[in-house]
Parts: sequence; C-alpha cells; structure tokens
Amino acid sequence: MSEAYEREPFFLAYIKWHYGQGMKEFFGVAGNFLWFILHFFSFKLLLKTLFAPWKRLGEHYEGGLDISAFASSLVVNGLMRIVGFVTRILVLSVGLISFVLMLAFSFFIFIIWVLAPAILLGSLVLSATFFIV
Amino acid sequence: MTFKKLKEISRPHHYSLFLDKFFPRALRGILRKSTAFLALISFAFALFFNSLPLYFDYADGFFFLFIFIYLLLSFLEFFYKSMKSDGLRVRTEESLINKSKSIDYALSSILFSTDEIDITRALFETKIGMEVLIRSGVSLQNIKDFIYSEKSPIIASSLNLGNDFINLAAYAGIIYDADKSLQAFLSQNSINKEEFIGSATWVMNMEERRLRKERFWSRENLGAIPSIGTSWSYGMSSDLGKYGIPFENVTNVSSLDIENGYRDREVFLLEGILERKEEANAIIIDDSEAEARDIVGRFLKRIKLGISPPSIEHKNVIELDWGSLVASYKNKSELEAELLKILNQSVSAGNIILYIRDLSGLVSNVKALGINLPSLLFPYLSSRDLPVIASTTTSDFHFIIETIPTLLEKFERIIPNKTGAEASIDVLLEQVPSIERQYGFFFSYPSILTLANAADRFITYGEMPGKALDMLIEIAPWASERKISILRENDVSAFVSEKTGIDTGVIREKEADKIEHLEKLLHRRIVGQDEAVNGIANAIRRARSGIGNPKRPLSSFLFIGPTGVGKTEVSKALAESFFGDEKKMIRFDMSEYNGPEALSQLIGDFAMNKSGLLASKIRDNPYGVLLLDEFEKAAPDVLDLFLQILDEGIFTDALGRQVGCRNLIIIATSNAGSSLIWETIRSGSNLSQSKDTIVNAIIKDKIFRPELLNRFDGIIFFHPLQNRELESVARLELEKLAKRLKERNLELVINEDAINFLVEKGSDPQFGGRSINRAIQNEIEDLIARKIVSGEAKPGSKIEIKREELTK
Repeated sequence: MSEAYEREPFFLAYIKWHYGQGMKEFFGVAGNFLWFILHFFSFKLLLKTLFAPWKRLGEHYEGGLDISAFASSLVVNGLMRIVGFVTRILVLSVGLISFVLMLAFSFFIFIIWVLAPAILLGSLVLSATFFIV
Repeated sequence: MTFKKLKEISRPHHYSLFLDKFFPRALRGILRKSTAFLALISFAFALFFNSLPLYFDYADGFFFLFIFIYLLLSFLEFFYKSMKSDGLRVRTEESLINKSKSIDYALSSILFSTDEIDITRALFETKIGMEVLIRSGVSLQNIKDFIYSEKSPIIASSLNLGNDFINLAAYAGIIYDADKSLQAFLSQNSINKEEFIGSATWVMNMEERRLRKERFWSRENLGAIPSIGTSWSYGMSSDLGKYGIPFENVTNVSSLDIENGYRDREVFLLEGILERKEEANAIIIDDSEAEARDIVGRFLKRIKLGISPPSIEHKNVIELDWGSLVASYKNKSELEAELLKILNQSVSAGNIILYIRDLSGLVSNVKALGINLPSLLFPYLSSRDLPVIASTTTSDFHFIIETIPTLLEKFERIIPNKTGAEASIDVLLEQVPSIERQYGFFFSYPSILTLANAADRFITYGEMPGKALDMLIEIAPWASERKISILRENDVSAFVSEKTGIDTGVIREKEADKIEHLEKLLHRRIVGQDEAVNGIANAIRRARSGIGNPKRPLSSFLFIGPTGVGKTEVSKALAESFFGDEKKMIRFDMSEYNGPEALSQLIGDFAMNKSGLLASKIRDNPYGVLLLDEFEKAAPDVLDLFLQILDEGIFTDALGRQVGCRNLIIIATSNAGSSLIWETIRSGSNLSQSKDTIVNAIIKDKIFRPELLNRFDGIIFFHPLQNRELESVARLELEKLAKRLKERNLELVINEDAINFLVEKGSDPQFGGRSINRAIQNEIEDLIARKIVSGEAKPGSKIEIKREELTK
C-alpha cells in the first residue's frame, strides 16, 4: 500500500486520495488502456513487418536467366507485399485513431477529475436553479 | 506487532469494507447505471422538447441532478476499487514478480469486523473464516456448535503477531497457536495445524485470484485479449492444418497456474533452449506424457500472457498428429512427401513450434515403412527455422533415440524433476476449481492431501503428479454419484480402498478388531508356531497404525525352519487376514533363480527389451504378500537386488522403470540351519535361546550375508512340529477331507485311529507336516476311494477308518 490513511474520516481520506494517490492511479490506468491499444493492434510487430508479404505468400525465383519467371515472381511477390502493406496500414490507422481517441478521452476524464469539486457543485447548483426558477 | 498496529495497516482496506457494509456493491452498481440512463433520458427530453410549451425545464434540472449523482457514485467506485486493489495500477509484471505487500484483502475483511474480545469467534463468523473451516473439512453444524459453545475467549491484545509480513494463513496460524479450544475442536475433527493453515492458504489464494480477475483495467487482464494481425507476417500451412492441432485445443492451458512455481525450472530450461539461434530443439524425457504436456502447456501460457522472451513472442505450439498421418499414408514415398510438405510449411509459416508426442514411436512407426526419419528431420533440426519439442519415455529414449546419433545430438534433453506428494498439492489445487464447477461438490483441503499421499503410495504405475491428477479426475464422478457435498479425508480413503483393495484410511471398528486379534485369526490356519505368529502380528499392527516407515515394504520377514512346519501356510494366512484374500500372494521359488540369467529373468533384459517376471508380477499385484521360497538358493546378484528392495521398498527394472514394493509384505523362507534346529529340539534346549547360534552358523556358512539378514524386519524361527501340533494338523486336514466328502453326501468319522496314523507319518523329520498331506492323499483317500468303488460306502452312509485298514 503506497499511502496509509490512518484514522482519517471517510470524506477527508477521499479528498486526499482524489488529488494524490487517485490522480497517480488515474494516469496508470489511462496508461494501461493506451498500452492495450498498442498491444491489441500489434503496433510494434506490424511496423516491423510493414513491407513483408501477406502471410508469406509469393513465388520463389530459382535464379538463372528466365526473364518471364523473374518477371512473374517479381509481380507476384510485389503484389503480396502491397497487399500486406495495405492491410497493415489499414489496421495501423484504425489503431492510431483509437489511440488518439483514447488519449482524448483520457484527457477529458482528467479534466473532469481535476475539476471534480467544481463540476459536482456546479451540477447541483444548476439542477437547483432549474427547479427553483 | 500489536493487534492495533495490524488493524492500522489494514486501514485503507477498511474504506472499501465500510462501503460494502453500509452501501452494498450491488446496490451501488444498479444506482450508478440507472442514474446514467436517467441522465441520458432527461438530456434527450431537454434537447428535443425544450421548444414546446410544457414544463420540460425540469428535464434540465433532472439532467444535472442525475449527472451529479452519477459522478459522485463513479468517484466513490474508483476510490473503492483503488483501496481494495492496493492501487488501481496493477500490471502483469509487477503482479508476477512482486508478490509481497503489507496485507491481503481477505485478512483485512476479517480484521474489519473483528470483535477484539473473542477473536476466534470473530474469525469464524466472517464468510472467509467460515470457508477456511469448511475447506478444512468440518461440517457446518459442527462449526456452529463450536462458535457458539462456552469457551474462554482469546482477547486480541494477547496475540503474539510477530514482526513479519502477515496474511490470512499466518493469522490463522497465530490464532491456532493461541486458542487451545480451537486446537481441541480441530483435532476432534481430525484436522492438524498443517491442514488448517493449508486450508487458509488455499482460501486466501482463491480470493486473491478472484480479486485479480475483477481488475479488468490491469495489464494482466487487458493483455490476455488476443491481438490482431500477429499471424499476418507468418505463413499459412494448409496440410499442417490437417495433421497439426493447436496445442491449446488438446490441452487445457487456461487452468494452469504459472505463478505457483511448479515446473518453473523445466519451463525456463525449455525457453532457454527455444531461444537459441539454431538447433532450438528440446526433448522431454518422462515416462508420463502428461508431464511433457504440462511443461509445454505452462510454456505456452507464458507466450499467451506475453511474458515469454521476445524471440518466442507470438509463436504457436502445434502438435503433430502423427497417428492419423501415418494411418492415412500406407505408401513410403507418399508419406515421405507429406512429411516433408508439413515440415516445409511449418518453416515457411515461421511462427510454429512443432510438438511431436512420443518421438520414438514416430521413428519406429515410419521405420516400418522404410522411412529414415532421423535423416529426413536432420536439416530441419539443424536449421534456425523450425523449433521442435518432442517427448519420449525414459526406456524409449535409451532404446531408440540414443542409438541414433543424428537425432540425439540435435535435441537438448529436459528431464523433469520427480515430484513427491507434497509438491503435487499445488498442481492438484490448480485443477480443483474446474472439477468443482463441473461436478458440483467441494473438496476439503485434507482430502487433497490424502489424495496426493495415497496416489504416491498406493498407485504403483506412473509418476507423480500425473497419477494424483488421474485420481482426482476419477474421484470426481465417484463422489458425485454418492451425492457427497464436501469430499473429506475418509471419502478419499474409501475410494482408494475400493480402487486398490487395500485399507488405507482410519482403522475402522471391525478392522481394528481384526487387527487386534490377528494372532487368533492366524491360528485358525496355523498350528503352534506362537513366536512366528506373534512376531508377524506385531509387525502388521505397526504397519496399520501408520508408525511404520513409509519408504520401506509394509513388513519383511525371513522364515527359517525345516520343511513342512507351516512357513508357506503362515504366508497364505497373512495374505488372507491382511489383504482379505489368500490369492493376494506372489510366489517365487528362488531355487529356480540361481543361474547367471537369474537377475535378468527377474528384472528384465535391456538388450532384448524384455520385461522381468518379478517386475511385471509386482506391477500387476502391488498389494499383497511376496513369498520367496528357498531364498538361500537364489543367485548372489538376486540376493543383492533384495538387499535394495528390503531397504528402500523400490527397485528399477532393466527398462529403467521404477517398481514400488512398499505395499508388499515380503516373506523369504529358508531351510538353512534346519539341521541345527532339529539338533536343538532333540537336545531339549529352547529354540529361542539358540537363535543367535543358529544365525551365526548361517552367516559362517556364507548362506546369507549379515547385511541382508539385518534388512529384514524380523528373522522368525519355525520349530519342528511336536506330536500335539501334528495331531492338530492331522485333525485340520481330515476336517478338510470330510468337508469335501460331505459334498458327495458321505460322512467321514474322524477318529483317533486315523489321527494317530497321520501323526506317526508326520513325525518324519525330512518332510514335517507336509507328510501328513501326503499320507492323507496316498493312504486315506485311496482307502475311501476303494470303499466307494466297492459299494461299501454309499451316499448317506458313514465312513469310519480303522487302524488295521491302513498300511503300516
């Protein structure tokens, strides 16, 4: 346990947690989710193998001076690499968008977290205003 | 540490416990979800109906009110989870490596509600404390009776908590030490301290695992969601698809617990081998294939959790189903082509670790078709492209793999450590939750301990923990059929007795009676020989009371005495009274094992791949009496083998398999020194006093070496039968004959004439009591047969034998 909340009443302990330990943990959890997106979309692996042929498909060129065979394997292998590249780029873009969205969401929550007392108080006041006015 | 300090350490947990107590979690959940929903509804109303001349301004008010409640509850929930989980940020690596922390939640929940005046009662009034007792095997009624019984309470301040890190199990141990009434209650329920603490540890670990599963935001749980695209840069292998099965489809990997340290050595070894740049091949050598599977399963689980070394990341373990492969291709060239295709595709896929079960089996199977598998595999095994894990048994490894250098040098060997009963317990506990879910009953902790010990001791085939796991799987439907709700120690004993025919558990009243009066039981069949009978009965009582050494045979005796004095009969009587059946006896005439081939006849022959008689007979009948007649006539190397058997209760046969003799009563008989026995009796001196002289003479004549004689639990002398005893033997044998005749409706009158005649015959020093049998057969049965044939003895009539009718 990183901090001990010795004999503090519930409310006081909460406030202390909210701007101390709780904030740290919030970053930790946001970090976990961002890590998850990178992990789920296999960023590292897909970037490393960005130009690799799709599922290792392709033709093996035996060597020699057979122009047509050379051309055929060049085309097939090139095509497979393109297919691989396109798919990976697609997935990486979706991943990137998710990452940015997650980042934005985390930031949004962070704002709510920091302004929590104001937001809570504000919503209570607003609510009362609508009922009274 | 004082109790007060301990409570302070657990204080952060108290906030969550306090919340749970006054504002239950389920209610919080419902409230939070419904306010979110209502906030949305009121927002929609406010948005769409604001222009209408209705009083929908309230909708805005409600919206803000619900938002307020929702946010409040959400923050509360975060706080709750943070306090409960020792911080929200739980990552895989941290949770696996750094297990130490101040206090566990389970213990905190007990401390939270602990009344400091009677801590024992407070402990068992909590749900977790109650579960500890139930897992110890105490019935619910007994628990209630104990908690509310009159006893002197233990005050919290009197506890000796020590300064170390404390958890539920340690706390349970401290209370056990402090509370004498708890000790008495548990011992009444046959639970010792070790079992009680073991149950607490088990409950604690289960709680811990449940909590960890709840933390969906942890890297451990998020990382377990499979990633996309990991297989795109690896190839497809269509034929491997037909003959290759993903390892996790055939072995339940998810139930394996990789944190309990079990098989860590082997898994790290395997990882180390597979990390190599080339020749990354491992062969797991164990007689049980399940062991190899278990190791590969744990290895695979580490890959799935993303905690294996980077070079193994994203790899798949595929098992080659060579059984169907070999069955599908009968032609050499076709099978060869198919095998090559599979191997090539595995290489081109790039992320495959090939698992070949029983590699020796595959080698010999395809050899029958003329395929030289080692040379076919050689280039793949040498390359860096295809890591292979193979399994084989010890004897197959020596017989087949070791004789093929091309194969041998490419594989790194992994020989799993042998596990005892104790180390197997964690593995059994791993499997228990899924079995409990499937069959709907609970295992108590002592039942698991008993099961592991019983499997280790009474199942002679297979290795631990495989045989214990098999037993766990077998006992589940057995218990479920009998509608057992909590499996206890005695249930396991009953199951083992049913399965093996040997009484293992608590000595029951009837059996206790039998054991107490074993002498009487043995004397039903044995005439005289009081010393022998008493010696045996004492040894048996030692064995059944559990104070005997479990690492030796149940008992071992050397019976010395002239022929025909009841040595074999004692062995039979013992088999009948101890194992319930006279047939529970393996008999070897050791005079047949005195040549140079004797040892290989008994334990098998490695070169000829032949199993031995002694090894296979013991394996087939592991519980019973092993009778070694004419022991002194066995070859010296056979006697050396028994030196080991008598000492350790175990031997290894020629094929490298261990044969357990720890459930045998070993009886060796010998005529050595019988002339000395006769002389002692003739000279009228006491046999028991001349015992040492006779034993010394046997050693001096080099019949037995002193170290062999010392290995026996007892050397028992049989004296020649006296006239009075011969009379009883004659009467006993005649009664047996009379019984047989009665089946044919003839009545044999047993009279003094017949008995005296038999006693005369039985006094022959060379044959002893056995000559009585011969006389009955040759003289009395002949006479009766003549009477039947001549019509003198008709059905329903009496047959009386007169002295003059019998030959002199």
